[in-house]
Formats: sequence, structure tokens, C-alpha cells
Amino acid sequence: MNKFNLTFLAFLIVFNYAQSQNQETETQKRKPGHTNISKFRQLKQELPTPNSQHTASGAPGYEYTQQQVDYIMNITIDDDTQKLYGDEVITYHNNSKDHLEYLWVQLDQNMRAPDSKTPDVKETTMNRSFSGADAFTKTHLKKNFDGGFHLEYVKDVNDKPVSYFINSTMMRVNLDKPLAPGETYVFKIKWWYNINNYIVDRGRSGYEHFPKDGNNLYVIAQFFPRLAVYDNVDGWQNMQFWGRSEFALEFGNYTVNINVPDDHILNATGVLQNPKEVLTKLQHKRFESAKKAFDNPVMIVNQEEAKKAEKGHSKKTKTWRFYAENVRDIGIATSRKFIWDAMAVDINGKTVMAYSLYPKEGNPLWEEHSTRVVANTLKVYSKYTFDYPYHKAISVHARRQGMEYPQICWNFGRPKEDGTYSDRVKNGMIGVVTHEIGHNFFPMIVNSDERQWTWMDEGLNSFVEIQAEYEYDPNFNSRGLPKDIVRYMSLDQDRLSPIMTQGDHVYNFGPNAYSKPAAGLTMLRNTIMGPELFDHAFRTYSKRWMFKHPTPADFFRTMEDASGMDLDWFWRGWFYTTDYNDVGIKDVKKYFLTDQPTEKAKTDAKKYGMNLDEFKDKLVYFTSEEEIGDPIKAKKVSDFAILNNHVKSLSIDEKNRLKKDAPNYFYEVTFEKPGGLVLPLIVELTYEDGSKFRKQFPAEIWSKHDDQVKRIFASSKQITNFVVDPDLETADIDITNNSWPKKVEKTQFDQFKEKLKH
Amino acid sequence: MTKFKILIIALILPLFAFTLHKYYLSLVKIEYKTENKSVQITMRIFIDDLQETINKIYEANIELAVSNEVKEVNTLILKYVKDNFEVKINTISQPYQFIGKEYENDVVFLYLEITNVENLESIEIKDSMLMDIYPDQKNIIKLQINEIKKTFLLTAKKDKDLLKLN
Repeated sequence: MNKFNLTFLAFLIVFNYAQSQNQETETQKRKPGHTNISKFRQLKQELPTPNSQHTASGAPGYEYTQQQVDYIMNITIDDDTQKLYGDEVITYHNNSKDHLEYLWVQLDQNMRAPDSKTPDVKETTMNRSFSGADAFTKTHLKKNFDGGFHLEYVKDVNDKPVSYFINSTMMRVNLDKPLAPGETYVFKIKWWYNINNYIVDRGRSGYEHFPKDGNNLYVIAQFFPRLAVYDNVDGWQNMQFWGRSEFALEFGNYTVNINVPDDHILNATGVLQNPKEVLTKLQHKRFESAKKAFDNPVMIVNQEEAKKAEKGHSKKTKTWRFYAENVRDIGIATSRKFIWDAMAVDINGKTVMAYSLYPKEGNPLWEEHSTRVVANTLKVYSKYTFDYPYHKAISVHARRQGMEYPQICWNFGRPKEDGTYSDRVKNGMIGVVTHEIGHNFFPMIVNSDERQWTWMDEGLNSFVEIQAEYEYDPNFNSRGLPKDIVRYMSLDQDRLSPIMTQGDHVYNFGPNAYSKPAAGLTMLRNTIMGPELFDHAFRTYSKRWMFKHPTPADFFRTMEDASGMDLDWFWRGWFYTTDYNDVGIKDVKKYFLTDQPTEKAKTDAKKYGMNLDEFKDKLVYFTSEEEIGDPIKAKKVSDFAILNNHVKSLSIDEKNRLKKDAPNYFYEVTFEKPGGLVLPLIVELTYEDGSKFRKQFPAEIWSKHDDQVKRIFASSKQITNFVVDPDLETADIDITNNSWPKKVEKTQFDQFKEKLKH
Repeated sequence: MTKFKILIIALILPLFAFTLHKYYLSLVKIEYKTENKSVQITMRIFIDDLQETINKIYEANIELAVSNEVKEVNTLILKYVKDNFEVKINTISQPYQFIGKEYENDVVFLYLEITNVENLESIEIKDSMLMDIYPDQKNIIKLQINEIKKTFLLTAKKDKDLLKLN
């Protein structure tokens, strides 16, 4: 009897769609078939086939190899003519299993050569109907900057000229015979170039001139012909340098001797080999004692000394000698104007030096924050990735710059002439120092291919940057949270590119390659995976690819491999498409309990040939809000003798399996999803007594219902309010449909007007 | 005279030089409801860009979003807006009132209003703000005229667009 009753109940509980389905028009044409279009299908077509170098787990495989390139170079920076002269001996180690007929060398400076094609790919228009003399001269009469490498020789180890061919920013060095696996090839290049004034001619490096004291401040990079990457992912990575998409570089050991005026203070990538020679006795003493200054930055060259130096103009020179092991590049900063401060940072028992170089124009902002921010960045990034393996990290003050190299980077943030600065200048500076120092981890160590995938270093770095900024200042206004990317994601689709687009061809570079991936990773960590799973997987990726060349697939695969979560749907939506997220509440239907047969129950009973009179007091009926009229008429679970008796008849074991709170109210909520992305559905409900309850459904809830899905919320108390994504965690681009009952949001304009009244 | 200056500045600008978060975008929301007879305009602009532009064009030295912001700032902002932002309703240029501004992180919101608008049949927006100084500047105009939504993307190449309602 009991059993029969329950079965029948089940019939009634089921909401009856059958009828409406039968009524579907028969005239409708059959739809054609299709391939798997599920948003949850695996990325088999998008990701490259795994192999023994880049495995299916996302780790480097047992046959993973990587080329190594070592450099010995002598550099002279002529401060009077702003020219850089260099010669280098390059030792190329072919660690691959391939025979190489030629080597490709990157000549990045050629991007600013007079015959550079970079200006030619830009659209120009006749916007202006008039022009001043100076403007006209600059637009139509001025020659291009005379930049670019001037090669004096390319010779082999026996000083025999080597055949080469230059294709813009790439140079093919032709080998007499193919370089066999395991062999090395040694060759030499001598060159010079005009250093650009980056305030006038722009660029990621160059010099700034200070007219007041006549000095230059140099931040030097991409200054030497250097090898392109060769691997079995792209062969030679010899896509041209157009100026935007950055670099792909091999690791190697560098011996670098840099000759500059002897009143300059200089620093560069690598371990300084001759500090006693280049520093005064007092500076050297401070340089040594700074290694124990763990609490606060100390001066190695102070402001008074820098001010004195910038008044001079020595004709003598001196050579700073560096040795850098296992780095992918070299950056140099040098000027008479530099103040140099230092602080020791304890990274799990190892001391790393945090340095800053800045002219007096950077103070007092720089002495207060730069080195402290460097120290904080190294600590936080080490926590999220791996212990910082190098011995130092330097933040150099350079106006309008924000650019990264191994162990050294250029950062903006200049106070006004009177030394005052706004919070925006300060926060901008803290942000850029964190960001550029953070680049030591991505891509200087986790060495992805920047020329192709800007997001792999900028996006990952922007994500960790947020964590570091919060640790430096808990109130820091970091961008890159999911809510910050909403404006970008709701742009016209014509102006959007998927993140998985080569950097040179991306619309809205900043949000595309920085903020959107960072917001995606934040969402993965905080909402989809949870910090424990995410952090372990992210660290696994970072450690697996330290000092190696990861690809996007290695990242995607490792995050799944180390977490046990299938995230292909997330990568597909967030990285491979321009889809946006928009979920909402379409409808909420309330149901109550009653002991009186409802119209629907009567209809159903008739269909099954049942007489409901025979079941008097034996059934629980669900009735809609409309039918019952006044909710007061509804019954509670406790009012049903049949249910109480049934529960009483259960064994203790069975009773223990029952919930304590029996539901009296039933809400069938229809969630709609106008957006194309699939993401977890976060629902917050508020009860009549004001208490709240939150439930997160996995993204897979959309797997069989991409546009809308229904869920029943059964509750002992009445629910007064439903909200989806209450904390704006999922970059929902339209939140006007997120609440039930629908909230009529005042426009920002009206809100502002109201504020004015008060 | 100042306009010539602008052109000079435009020329020394980055061909590329992408460093950090930078992108050149402003967002203007324009809403009109027949019953209110009012066109409400909300502009969202990067503070730094607006400040630099105004300082360069008017040879000023203002600083926005600081505790000791001077009153002159609003006059300069409004002057700049009037020089670069025009709303034509039914083909006639409309004066707007500067309701105020507010800061949020690194952006400033400017609120403008055109009142007593009846029978809106067409609306044309010209917005060349920041384009003199930043050639890559894009100004996105989101119109909601009663139930009709329309987006304009304005650039130096095309700094105005028209929506006809009938």
C-alpha cells in the first residue's frame, strides 16, 4: 500500500511536459545532423598532438630538448654620441636531434631602421584639414630615425667571413655544412647602432635626456644580435619583430663587459664580477653590507652622491663585468644620475638582492616604494610558483617605460618637479614595478614564446601580480578581476579577438592579453577550482617549465593533469572564443502543499484511470501559487498524517537518512543563459527571515541545456529573493536579469543625480 | 595656436610601445526616455588621458582626482568636452548641461544632460575626445533611445555617427 502510494506520488511530482511535446507541429522540417558541438567536447582539434617532447600530461617529455646559446660580448656605450658598439662570440649548442642547415639570428633594432616595414603596416588617413609648420615638418619632411644594426662583420671561429642574409629583423646565417645533433657552432659578430631617445622616438629601450643637467639615462635592451629559438613546435621561431609582439629566446650563459663613462652607475643582468673595480671603497662597503639589510632598503649610492655625479662629465671610461648563468637575455641600465638602493630578501633561506636605480627626479616616491615592492614581489611570486632562482632583481626608473628583462626592468612613475605625487602616480608605480619584476617568473624563467602568445606571459603574470599587489597593500586597486573585464567582453564582437590569437593581430591588446586571461585565472582559482586545487596545479605548471619553453597546450594540460578537473570547456570558451557570460533568472514558479486534489492532479488521474476519491487523505498535492490563491491555505508537511505515519513506520536507520527540515515550499527556477560561455551557476537565495543560502552548480549544469535550465529549490521557509552571481565572480555582462524579483536598477546617471541632492 | 601644438604632440606618439595595461578607450552611455524628455549622458574616460590632453591643449597644469583639486578644473573639462563632443537631435545641435563628475579608480565619469527633448527622431553624436593626443583613441557610444539600442564606434577616421528612429 505504502509502496503504491509513493509510486503514484512520483507521478504527480513529475512536471508534465509530455502533452506539450506531443503537440509539436508535424510540419516542421527535420533538422540536418551535426558533428559534436557540445561546449564540453574535448580540445582534440585545437591542441597539438602530444609527443615525447610535449607530453599529453602537459609536462616536458623524456625526449625534450632545448638549444643553448652562450655569448661573450664587449659593449661600449658612447654617451657623447649615443651610440652602442659591440662585438660578440656566440656559441650555439645544437641539443636537438636535427641537422641544421642554417641559424636564424634576431636583429630587433632593425625594427627602427629607416627601411623598417613597421610604419608601413599602419593605416594613415587625411584627417587633418590644416597643419602647423612644425607639425608639417615632422610629418612630411622629417627623415625616419637612423636606427637599426650596422653589422661590421659576421665571422667564424677562424675569422673567416660567414655568409648571411638579412630579412628585416631576422638574419639567416648560412652554414657550410649542416650542424649535426650535439655539435656546437661558434661565430662572431661586430656591430653598432644609434641609440634612440625613447621619449622622442619611442621604443622599449633607449635613453632619456635631462636638459637641466645635460645627462642621459640609458635603459638598453635588444642591443645585440641574438639567436632565434629552434624547437619541434615551430621549427625556427623567425616571425618578424613588428614592435609589439615580444621575444622568443634561448637560455645560455653570458659574459658581458660594458664600457661606459667612469662616473656612471650601471647595473645589468648577471653577477657583477668586479665590484671593487667599479665602485668606490665606500660604495663597495655598502654594497657588501646591504646583503644583510633584510628590514629596510639601504643606500649604495645616495642622492647627494648622484647629484654630485650628474654635475660632472668624465671623459674617462670604466668597464663593468658581468657573468649571467642560464638567462634568456641581457638588459643594461646606466647613467650618471643613478641613486642605487638595496635590500636583502629571504627566499626560503636563500638571500636575493632587491635593487632599485633611479634619478633624483624619481624621489621621494622611489626611495619609499621601489625596492620594497621588488622584495614583496619576489616573495609572493615565489609562493605561487617556485623559489626565485636568481641572485638579484632590479627596478630601474625610466619615464613612461614598463618593460622587463631577466633580473632587471624599467618602470614608470615620476613625481612632479616639487616631489609631490598623486595616489594614481604612486599606485601606477607600485603596479608597474610588481608587474615587471613579476615578469622574471613569466617569461624570463617559464620561457614561453612571446612573439606568438602574449597572454602566456602577460596574462599569467598579471594574475600573480594581483596577488602580490594585495599583499603589498590590502586596499590596492588591482585590475584583472572578473568584474573588471565586463566592459571589454561586452564590446562589439567585431572588435574582439580570442585570447588564442597571435599578438600582432589582436584588437584591444591590453584587455585581450593582460586583463582577460588574468580575470579568467582569477575565476578559475576562486570560483571554478578553488585555491587549493588551482594553486597546486599552477605551481606544477611553473615548476615543470622552469627554464624551458612551454606552449599553451602545456599550460592547459598541466592545469587539468595536476587537478583532476576537466577544464577543456573553460579553455575553449575563455581562450578560444570571444563568447561572453550572461546568465539570468527568467522565471520563478512557486508551489505549495495541499491535501485537496488540484486541477492538474485531477486531469492526470483521469488519464491514468484513477479515482482520486479513493485516495482521500492518502496523497500530498503540489499546487501552484495561482491555484491556491492565498498561501495561508497551504499545508505544511507536518499537517499530513499520511506522511507522519509513513516516517514513523521507517526503521531507525532509514530515519537517520532523512533531512531534518522538511520542505513546505517549492520554487521552480528557470535560469536563462543568453551568453555563449558556460560557467558555474552561482545562486544566492534569501529566506523570509532574512537569512541567506548559497549554492554553486558546476558549469556542467549547462551541458544538456545551453540556453536555459530549471532547478527546484525545496525549502521549509519561504524564499523571498533569488540572485545569480551575487559577488560578480563570473564576468556576467548584463546583471539586470540576475535577480528575482526583478530589481529595477537606477541608472548610474540617476544615482549620481541623487547623490548630488544629498 | 594651441591646435597646432596638438598636431605636434600627436606625431611623437607611440607607433607601438605597449607596455602595461594601456588601451585607449572611452565609453559614453546615452539614454533617452520619452516620458522624461531628457537625454542623459554618462562618459567614462581614463583620468590620466583626460588630464594630459587638457594640460597639453590648454597649456594648463591641472591635476585630477587629488584632494586639493582646483575649481578651474571643471571649467576646463567642460570647455574641452564642448570642443569635442556634440549631440544633434533632429539635425539640430543641442546645448547640454554639465551635471557633474565623479572618480572611480583610474576613470572619471562625466555627467551631461539635455533637457526638454520631445519627438526624438534622429540623434547624431560627434565625439573626437582625446583623439588629437591619442591617435588610437576609440570612443564607444552606447545609445538607448527608449527600447532601441545602438552602439557607435568612433575613431579619428570617423568621429561621428547618426541613428535615425523612423
